[in-house]
Amino acid sequence: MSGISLRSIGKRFGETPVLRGVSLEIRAGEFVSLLGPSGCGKSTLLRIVAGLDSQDEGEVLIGGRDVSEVRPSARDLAMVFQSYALYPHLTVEANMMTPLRMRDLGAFERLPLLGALAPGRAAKLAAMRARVREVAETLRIEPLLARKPGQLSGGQRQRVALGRAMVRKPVAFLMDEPLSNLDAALRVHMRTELADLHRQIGATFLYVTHDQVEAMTMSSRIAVMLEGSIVQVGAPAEIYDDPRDVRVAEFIGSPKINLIDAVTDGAGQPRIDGAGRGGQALDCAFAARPGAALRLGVRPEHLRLADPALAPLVGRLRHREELGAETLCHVEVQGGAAPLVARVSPAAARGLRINAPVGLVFDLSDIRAFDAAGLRIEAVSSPARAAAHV
Amino acid sequence: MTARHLLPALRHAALLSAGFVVLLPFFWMIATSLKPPAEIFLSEIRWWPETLHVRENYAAALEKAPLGRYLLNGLIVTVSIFVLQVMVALPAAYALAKLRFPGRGMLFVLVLFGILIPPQAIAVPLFLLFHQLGLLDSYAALVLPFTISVFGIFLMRQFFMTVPDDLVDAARMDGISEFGIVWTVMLPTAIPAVTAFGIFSVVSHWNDYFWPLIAVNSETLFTPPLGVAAFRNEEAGTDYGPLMAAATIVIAPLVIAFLLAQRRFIEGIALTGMK
Ligand SMILES: Nc1ncnc2c1ncn2[C@@H]1O[C@H](COP(=O)(O)OP(=O)(O)OP(=O)(O)O)[C@@H](O)[C@H]1O
Ligand SMILES: [Mg+2]
Repeated sequence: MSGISLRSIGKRFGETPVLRGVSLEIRAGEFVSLLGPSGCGKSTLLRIVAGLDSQDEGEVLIGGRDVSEVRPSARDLAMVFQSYALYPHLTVEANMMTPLRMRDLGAFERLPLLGALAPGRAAKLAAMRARVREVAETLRIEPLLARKPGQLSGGQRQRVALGRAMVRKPVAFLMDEPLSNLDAALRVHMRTELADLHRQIGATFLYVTHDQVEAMTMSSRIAVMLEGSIVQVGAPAEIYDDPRDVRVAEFIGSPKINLIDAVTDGAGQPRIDGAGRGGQALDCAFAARPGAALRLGVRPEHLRLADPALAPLVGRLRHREELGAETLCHVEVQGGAAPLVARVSPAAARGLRINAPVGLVFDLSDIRAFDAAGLRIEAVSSPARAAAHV
Repeated sequence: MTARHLLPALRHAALLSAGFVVLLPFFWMIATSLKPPAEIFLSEIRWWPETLHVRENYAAALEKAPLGRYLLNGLIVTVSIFVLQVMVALPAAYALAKLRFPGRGMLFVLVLFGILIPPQAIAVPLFLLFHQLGLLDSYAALVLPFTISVFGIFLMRQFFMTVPDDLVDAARMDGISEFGIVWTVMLPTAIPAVTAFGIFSVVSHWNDYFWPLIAVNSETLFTPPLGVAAFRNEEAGTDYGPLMAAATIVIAPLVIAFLLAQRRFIEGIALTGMK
């Protein structure tokens, strides 16, 4: 078990930069998710950590040691691939044995027939088999040991791939979207199992995914990656509540965060264009120049329905999604680009007809403001837990 | 008969007559190998001999020429060629399909060009080269020119392209060397392609007449087709019964192998048809 440090890793394919100075500290025993949209360079970064690709700039340290010149197998990492990549011609047991055979047997001992003559080989093989059984027991795949990968279901293959990674007791596990080939129910189940497994063996995990739910549910920390850079690193709740960049705010959370355009007045108070109550400024201030354009982010669960006469935002109900426990109301606000989404209780939305006028209110403390470049702007004053219309 | 029945009937008639055309010489060869000389030269067509001359013809064939030796030579040559072809083609195909290095595209284009070169075109330079090396009239002369099969490299490369990169990377993570990956990971997954290639390789070199004719002189090195030809020229004259018996014996191993591996053979051809 070791930590992994990435120091300003850069990588380009031809002229296209894919990674731009990525730095990340993963402490020993941590479960860190690398979260980002498709094509942002997550797999590339993971392959560089594994040693399957080489970086153009920067260095990778594993347990404090620079591994730039170290072969993949000598880095003592284990990788689980999206496609599982099991050897199709070998049984589950032989698949799981392979990393041990390669590490513990000499070249002569691995020879098909002659190898049997090597002294001590039988004892080594017995130890390996015992280790494979032990791991198979942890993953509950013992009954499958004699089968070939082609005779397994997706979930079983996934477990075997995990098993093959575990037998060596590597210093860290690298996983590239290991759950994305599973159906929804199995994915939920495997999420729990992976989190359990991490607690049980306490190893370092670097987990790549584009699914924010996976990242939120399993990780100690999430590193959000966008267009080849890590934009923010933090605990799941921190990433959700305190996004440092508007792209992070937009990427995390479903439905997406609502973004409302506003302009600051002389006192740094935001005024929402063309909104209700005659465009009155909100009673909170941000560290921005007067007249600066702001984007105010409010999560759907922080919007509430209110009387249009009193609300800072008014619009018409365009669409309603009944999800059982909650209702999503899509409200088209005058002058707003996209409809705002409010996540409310079914009782609150009952009786509202499509196209009915709706007012939206929110707590001022729930606003996250971003500047024109997308960077977060801190609030300099906002009344604690005070609704905007009060 | 309605049109619905007529069409399949016509189709089958066409297929049957094509099959007949292909099989007729084989049948004629076998029938002739069973006939006494008197029946062979009849002016009428006699499909099946009235008096069987099996023992005489086949005994004469086996006695007059060392057919066993020719068959053994054929086996040695075709198996050596195939094994060496695989030993060259698999690593080459792996490099072309899975390794990234400058000039890879150019090398693959050269392989494609190699396929276009007919073996007859380079026979004379090859002959001179082997003469210089003093290798003519040996097993090496029969085997070495075919050890690098560009077709084999091409076929295996196409197959390896379909093997997921993740599998190769997983093997690297497990600590298997690049050559180890070729033999312990790629080869087992490519068995269908190797089988298909093996069938084409063995059949074409078993039946090859052109190069062995140029490369060897000693009768002890004759491959089956050379043996049959020599048999006609020197031993038999117009004695067609034993000649056809010899031809039948020479073709028999391939036919038997085909019947035993019929399913694999057809799978293999279907596979190369797809790629
Ligand atoms: N071998 C390569 N040659 C050229 N470009 C590549 C190569 N591998 C990846 N890329 C490019 O690098 C970028 C990042 O790829 P990468 O596979 O790391 O994305 P990812 O974040 O893992 O995406 P996904 O979630 O879809 O797997 C992509 O734009 C991709 O097209
Ligand atoms: Mg990827």
